[in-house]
Formats: sequence, C-alpha cells, structure tokens
Amino acid sequence: MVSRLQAFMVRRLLWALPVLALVSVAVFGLVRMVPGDPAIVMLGADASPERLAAVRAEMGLNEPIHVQYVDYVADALRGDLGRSYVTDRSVSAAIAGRLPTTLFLTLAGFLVSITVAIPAGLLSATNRGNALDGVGLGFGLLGVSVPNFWLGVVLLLLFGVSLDWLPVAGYVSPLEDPVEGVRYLILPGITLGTAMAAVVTRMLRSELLEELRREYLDAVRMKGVGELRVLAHATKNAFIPVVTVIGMQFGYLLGGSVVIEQVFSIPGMGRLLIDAIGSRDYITLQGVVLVYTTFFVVVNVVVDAAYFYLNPKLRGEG
Amino acid sequence: MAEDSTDRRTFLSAVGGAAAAALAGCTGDGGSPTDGGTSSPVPPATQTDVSTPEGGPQSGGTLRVGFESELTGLDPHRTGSVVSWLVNFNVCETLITFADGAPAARLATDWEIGDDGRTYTFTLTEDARFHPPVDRQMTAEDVVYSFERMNQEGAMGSDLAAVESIEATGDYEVTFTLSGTFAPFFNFLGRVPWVVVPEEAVEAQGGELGDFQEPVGTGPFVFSEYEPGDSLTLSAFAEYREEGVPLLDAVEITPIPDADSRVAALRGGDMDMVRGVSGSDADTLRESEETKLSRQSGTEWGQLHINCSEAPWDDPAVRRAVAHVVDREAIVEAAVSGYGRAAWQPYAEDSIWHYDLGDSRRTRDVERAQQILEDAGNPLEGETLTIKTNTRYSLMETTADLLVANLAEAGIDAETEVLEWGTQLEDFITGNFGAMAFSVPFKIDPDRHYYGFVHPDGTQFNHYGADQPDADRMYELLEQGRSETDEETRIETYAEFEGLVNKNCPWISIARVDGIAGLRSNVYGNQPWLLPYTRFWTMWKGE
Repeated sequence: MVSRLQAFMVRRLLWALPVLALVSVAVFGLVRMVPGDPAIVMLGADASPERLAAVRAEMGLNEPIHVQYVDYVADALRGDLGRSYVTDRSVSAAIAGRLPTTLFLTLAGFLVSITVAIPAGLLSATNRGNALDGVGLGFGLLGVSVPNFWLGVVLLLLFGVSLDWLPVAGYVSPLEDPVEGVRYLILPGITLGTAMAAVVTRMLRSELLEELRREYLDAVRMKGVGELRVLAHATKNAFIPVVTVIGMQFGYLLGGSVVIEQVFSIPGMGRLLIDAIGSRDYITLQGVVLVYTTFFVVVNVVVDAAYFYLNPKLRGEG
Repeated sequence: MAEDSTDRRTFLSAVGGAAAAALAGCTGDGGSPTDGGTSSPVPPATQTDVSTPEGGPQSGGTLRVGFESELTGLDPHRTGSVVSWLVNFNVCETLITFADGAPAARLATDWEIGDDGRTYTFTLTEDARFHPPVDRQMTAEDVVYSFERMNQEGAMGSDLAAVESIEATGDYEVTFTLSGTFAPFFNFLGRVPWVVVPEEAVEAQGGELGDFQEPVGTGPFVFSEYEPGDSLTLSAFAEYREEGVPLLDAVEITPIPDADSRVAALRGGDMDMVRGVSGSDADTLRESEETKLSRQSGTEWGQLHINCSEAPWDDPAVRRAVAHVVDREAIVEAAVSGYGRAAWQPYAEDSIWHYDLGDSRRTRDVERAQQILEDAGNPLEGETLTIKTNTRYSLMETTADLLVANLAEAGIDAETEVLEWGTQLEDFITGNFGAMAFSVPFKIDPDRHYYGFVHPDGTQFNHYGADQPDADRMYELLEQGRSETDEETRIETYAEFEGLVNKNCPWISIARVDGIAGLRSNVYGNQPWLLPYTRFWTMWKGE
C-alpha cells in the first residue's frame, strides 16, 4: 500500500511542476496585459516625462518581455523573486513575512468550519426531517448565501464596536502571544469559515444520509453493533467525497482570505496582492500569485493523498 | 486668524489661502452652502478639537493611527507616497514651514531673497541634532548633501530644475542660486521631499536613491520600528531642540486600507486617530460622544478634466455648455455628504489666488447651456459623451454619475466608463479620454495646479492644444506666473489666467472637498493645516 501511495504521490507532484511553470508564464503575460503603467501609477499624474523614463528603465520595463521573463525565472529558481517597484524591498522577504499570517488565518477559518460543520452535519443527518435538521439546513443555506465581506463587517460592528469584546483591526501572531493572537483571529476566522462550514455541513449531511441507507449497514446492525458504531462506519465512508470538498474549500478559504484581510486589516498575503495590483507592482504581484498557486497545488496533492488513503478501492484493498 | 491685513497678506502669499480656510472656517465662496440637503447639516469647516480639558496638555502615551494606505518606500527623496511624507515630516525637517499664517522657521531661522530673485540665502539653526546613531549637529553641508541627493536622476521632476547651484556659504548658511527666476521655488521648500538627512546614515543603508528606508533626521520623532506590511512606530526624540516637544512618547501607524474598517477601528477604540474619513462616516463620528472630527477644508480639488484635442470636447462650445449643466451643490452633497464646497477654481475666496469671476461664472443654467449648443450648431446632436471615472475615489465616481444625470436633464446623452484607478491614470497621462472626473490634492502654489495641465512642457500630455482659443496667451501667462517674483504681478497674471479658464473651460471645476480625520474624544492638539501631513508632535492624549 505504501509503495502505491508513494508512486501516486510522485506522479501527482510531477504533474504539479508543469502546472506551476504554466502559471508563471500566464501570470507574467496577463499581468502585463493589464492596462496601467507601473511607472505612472508610482509617480502620479504630474510626473515629468524624464522621471517616468528613468523609472521605467530602472524597473527593466524597457526590455523585451521574453527577456524579462527569462531573467525573472532564473532569479526565481534561486529563490529570489525580485525587488518590489514600490517599496524597493525583497519580494521573497515580503512574502515570507506575510505567508504565516495568511496561513494562520486560513487555518483559523478551517478550524472554525470543521468544528461547526462536522457536528452540524452529523446531527442534521441523524435527525433528518425534524427541527435540528431544519436548523442545519437553514444554516447551510445562509452560510453560502451571505457574502464574506458583509458578514465580516457585521461581526466587526457587533463584537468589535458595539460590544467591544474583540479587536477590530490588526493582527498579533499566535506564536508571539497565543492569547492575543487567538483573540485577533476569532472574528476573521468565523467570517472566513462560515461559507465553508455551510458547504461541508450540507455535503456531510447528504452523504451520510445516503450511506445510512446502504444495505451493508443492516448487516452490521444485525451483528448487534450499537448505533454509534454503525454511525462511525457510515461516517468513514461518507467522508470520502467530503474530504474532496474540504480540500477544494480549503483553496477557497485561501481566496477568501484576501477579502477578509482587507476587512480586518490583517497584514497577510492578500493585502500584499491587492496592493500590488493597485500599484501595478508586477514583481510583487507575480511572486504572490506564484505562492498562492503553489499552495493551491500542494493542497490538492494532499487532498488526493487523503482520498487515496480513505478509499479502499484506490488503495487496492477493495 | 489675525485680521491684520499685513499678516494676512504675508501669510496668504506664502500659502495661497488654503490655510486661511482651514483655520478660520469656510465662508461662502459664491456658491450657496451645501447645508440644505436631506442629511443633517454640516457645520462650517472648523476644527472640532480646539477645546482642551482643564490641566492643559499632558505628555506621554502612544498614539495609534489608522492610515488609509499601505506603508510603502520611505526614502524621502525618492517616494511620492502620502505615508512616506507623513512619516518623514515627523522624523526629518524641511528648511521652512508654514505656521500661524506665515512662512515660518524650521531648520532655517532666517532667509533672504536676492534682488534679482535668483539667490536664496538661508541661515540655519545651530541647535538641530541628528537622531542616533548619527548623533551630531546638523550643518550647512548636510543641507547641500541632501539637495544634491534629491536632485539626481530627476527624482524631483522639474521642481529643482531651476536650481543652478547649492552652496554652503558658512557653517550654518546655505545659498541657492537659480538659473532664472522661479516663483514657486520658495513654497516648495516647506514640502516633505525637501528634507535634510545626514550622509553617513544614507551611506550606511546602501547610499542609492531609494535605499534610505529607515529615515534619520532632526525631527521631533525618531524612526524606531517597522514591520513591513504591519505597523510602523515612531518614538519621541528626547534631545529635540524645542523644550517639551513632542508630547507623545510614541506614534504607531497601522495601515487600514478599508474605509469601513478604519472607522470601525476608531469606534471600537483600537485606534486613537484615523485618517481619510468619508463624508458619510463623518456624521457618525461627529454625533458619537466617544469620537470627534478634525476637518481641513479644501484639501482636494475635484474637476471634470477635459482632453481638448478629442471630439466633441475640442469644441469650446461643448465645454462651456457642460460647465453650465453641472449641479455642483448636488455633487458635493452626494459625494462627500456636504463636507466640501461647490467650486469654480482651486483657491477659496479668501486666498490671494482666488479670482472673482463675478457674473461670468458658469453656474447651473440649463437653458443657457442649450442656447450655447444651439448657437454652435448643435455639435452634440447624436453624440454620447463618455466620462471616465474609477471606484477607488468616491468623489470621482459620484461626480461622474451625477454629471451623467445632469446632462440627461439638459437633453445631452452621456455615460460613465468605470476604470480601475491605475488604468484611468494611464489614460489621463496618455490622453486617452475625452473627459474624466478627476481630483487632485490642493497645491500651495498656483503654478502647480495650472502649468502641468495646460502648458505643453508641463507633463506627459498637453491637455490644452495650441489650436484652442487663447492658447498662446494662456501659455504665456503660465510662463510669466512662474518666472515673475513680484507678488502683485503674479496675482494679476493668474487672475487673467483664471478668466481665460472660465471662458474656454480646459477643465470644469466642481468642488473643493475637506480632508477629514476621526479622533477619539481624548485626543487633542491635532492642527489641520494646508498640507496633508499630521504634526504628531503637537498632539497629546488626555484621560
């Protein structure tokens, strides 16, 4: 089994490489197709022609695009993602400084959603048709329908401003100060995790209902096994598709974190991304998108591995 | 505001009048006040935090400031970002500044302008000390070094182009010689990029333009900590030459780009001060007991900017007609909830640069607009005007939307084209537009508002073509305005220029809007003035 899993993982990772290469080309090209000259955005409306020319030359924007690309990739392979046009700081350093923040935020969202979704999905499925199920379904519907940023602003006004229980803006690393760090992550985590919780709840509920109807469970029950163990059996099988959904949702969490970082003023990669777009900071933009992509690809590989592990058929035990 | 006319004159000549509006409150500038809208009336622009509690200023404490944009490069001689200006204005110092209505001493205690208007000699303070680790007195050599540094690679654009030489004519005396007379020069010296820094600190950080990311200066605050993307901390400079300055121990600047989050952070008590408050949020902060506003009038000049080479806007009749269609008061009410003024020019009524247009002013008069178009042979028949705008600046977006509605009322078809800000800016410079809703920060010297927009040598794009009416005369006036140093003559020059603007409409002025900051009620001493930099050293926190 291990060797099959390993082989599978190697295959998946080899697939990831061309994906990343393709993304780097696409990002490089697309970013430059966006109208808006970084030199103009940087210097503003009253810049002199000489100054604009000087800045363009300094940024290397006068070189042909393929030369710019080759230079970029050569440096990137050495771990150097270039220096920001705007801040003149190393992009690798900027990303390294912000990546943990975004990861903590994403993790917070993930934990919130799983903590809510798994019990909610189980309760909903086992109480099919009654009030509890209704609450679960209602939550599911509301969770997917409510936009992230809106929920964020509402939570922020309620718990941050009116009740003044939690901080409104900023971030403290949980590694530096665990208590404060968690306090800062609660509202953004709930905001980010809600949509995913809703999706996972609904998915788990329907998969579980499906599973509970299967005949093999009757056989299990006939052996005199308790209902809880039966449920455990069913849950494990129901989780196979749910894991895929969780993985995909994890990717969405990463996307959602961009908005959440803006609303809660969290200095993560999303903020870096938005700012880089606004200022046409190509170098930073490319670096951030590449890191997001890598992250997305890694999550997918992990999901596949989990799927492989949970699904006996793929594992060759079927 | 002193009513003494001499004081007022000196002051206004230096600052062009915005400070007068900021300090004295705005009186009507010809347009009716915008208080009559449906929302609660906005009081005239005055500071709301002038009253201090018993016991007077207290020292100590950290002021937490929510900033409207991300922290970017901090090299004062290289960057154009507002956050860099603000940081550098508190850490480093300029030669002169503007205070209580007149040009005032900062690093220079005295100055003399040569009779030919080309030499400027500054006597420097002998008490300015650079922050650690440099830790020594500032001398004339440092001023020379700094100006030479900012003048390389055209970093300051054309601002320093007129400077022929900068010399240390004594240990504490610096002489600038200009290649020709250049009137705006003196006023520029109060702006942030023109700060004095020590060479050894620059060299220690790499030496190149742009490398100076941890500014060292002589100012009241020391640059102390910077977490890129997170927050920046300034701490009080214990050896600052003025006794009891600054009052605060530290200032912590956190970027909160989202406007709603910024206001929420202030209301939630996570911030003591937030900048860039919108008109619609201002009322909420004004009405709460825990927060208050600080307003400065006329920080932003909103206009419909026109490319006079692009049909149908190349026809002066079209521009004149549109100028009569605009409902300026409604725009001020809708875009900034009344925190501003309808305006026909960048300078307020009490500025020496304000020109009284009298009855010629193009106020809203739809019939007259239609008459102008009819007389010109209906050039807009079958045309749809496009007004470019963006969603980043609500003033521009609302202006464009309302303009379209105003034009429809006059039977003119128009639409908005919403662009991302970077795209709009590029279109602006490359001339890829007919008209756009635009706004620019208030400029101290009229040369800065007009020259770039109209004169062919001004910027990348000449917005007023040589084939337009009075073009030659307008170019001539702009050249005269910057080379003439006699104040009365300059005033006459710009008055004539404004008259021609009103006649030919190379742009249509719409509003002057306020810069609004929100403060917690226990924060005092913020003194809005003519420039968008906050002087943290005058501020303090009460109980």
